Amino acid sequence: MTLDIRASRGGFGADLRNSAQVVIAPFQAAVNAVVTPVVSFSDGLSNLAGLREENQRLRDRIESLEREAAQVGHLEAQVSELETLLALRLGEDLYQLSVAAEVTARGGTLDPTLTIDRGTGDGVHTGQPVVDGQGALIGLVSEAGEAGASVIPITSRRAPAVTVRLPDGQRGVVTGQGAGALELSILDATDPVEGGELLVTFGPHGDSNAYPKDLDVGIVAEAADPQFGTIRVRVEPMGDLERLEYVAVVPWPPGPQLLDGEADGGT
Amino acid sequence: MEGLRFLLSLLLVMAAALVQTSVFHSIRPFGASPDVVLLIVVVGAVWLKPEAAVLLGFVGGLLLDMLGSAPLGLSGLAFTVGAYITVRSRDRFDYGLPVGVMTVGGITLVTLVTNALIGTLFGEGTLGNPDIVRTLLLVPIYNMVLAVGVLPLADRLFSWVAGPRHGRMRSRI
Repeated sequence: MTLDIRASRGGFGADLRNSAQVVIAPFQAAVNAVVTPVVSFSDGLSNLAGLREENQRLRDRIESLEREAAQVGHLEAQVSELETLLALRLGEDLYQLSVAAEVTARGGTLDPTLTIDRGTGDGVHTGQPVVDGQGALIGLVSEAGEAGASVIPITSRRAPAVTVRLPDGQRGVVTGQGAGALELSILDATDPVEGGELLVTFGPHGDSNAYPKDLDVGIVAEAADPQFGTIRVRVEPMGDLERLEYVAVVPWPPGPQLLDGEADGGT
Repeated sequence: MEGLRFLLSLLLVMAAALVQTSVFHSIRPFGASPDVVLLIVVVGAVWLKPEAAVLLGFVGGLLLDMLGSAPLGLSGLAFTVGAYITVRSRDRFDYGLPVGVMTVGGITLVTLVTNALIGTLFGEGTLGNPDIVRTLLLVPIYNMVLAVGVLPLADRLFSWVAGPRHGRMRSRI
């Protein structure tokens, strides 16, 4: 009864899947065009009461921050420096070439797959990383058709592992545990990890160049000490898959010139 | 008659797949959404002959597989099981709407568990998902809520298009 188990790339199964997605994509777009404003409107209505309190709280916060900003003269310089660092996270060329896409659909009840409205015709190809509006790694393109593509979230068990770097320079591997959860594994751990530490992609190393370096992946959920040289700890993903509307597909791996530049840049 | 019913079921399943993947992509209360395709498969299986019912289940599941990235046939197999259980328990839908709604919830739960089990066997690790219990609880509840409206509507629609089921009116729903 099962037609094509593991036909994730190529073959009759992939053709069948691509054809189905091409056929249904315009209908999904039409339904989304109608439903999304309604959902946004109803969300706005349901949040109306809470918005007033939130508004007041934010105003108080702004006043507090403005006082702090006035007291700390070099804050502006620090912000400027941080902005520069953020802009450098992903090579400028990659940013310019990234393909912005709208999330148009989601898989079945137990299937975390997202569908985006850009495909091979737009330069989207299988295996490319996908980031959200904040630059956090969401997943990677599992299949690409002419006008649409499937994105498998990094939280899925089906997604390939992501090699990450901790703030202290240790290297680990983050794997999806399904349903929005990630796990960090460090096999040759020397130092403990602290809760709240930011994990970013390690970038090209050895034979692996699945992801560019310094994409936000997740935050370590709790502190953990090495047990027999190994650390396994839960990680909260940076991207919010439940409310995802727009993403960007990073053209990675890039051409040889860009890859050389990236490797020279600190990996 | 049977051909008309199957055609109607097929159209409803296709519409449900569209709704499932687009509408419920943005509406996910508590991180889960109803399984509309499965709901329509169950509703259709109540009205179809056993062979057509399980075929409808397989087609519905396969359609969902094609619109996602799960191994092709995974949901197809699970939904076939769901349709088969519906066929075996279709008499319960004659005992009134409350029993019908509960039956929908039960079949949804069993089908999802089947899907998760098969997925785990094929390396998807579905049963290991931290949120699997929440999904297995919420989706049947959502389907039961939808079934309150869908069952009577389907009853009227199928009766209108292809006449009463098995030569008798299901007046209690």
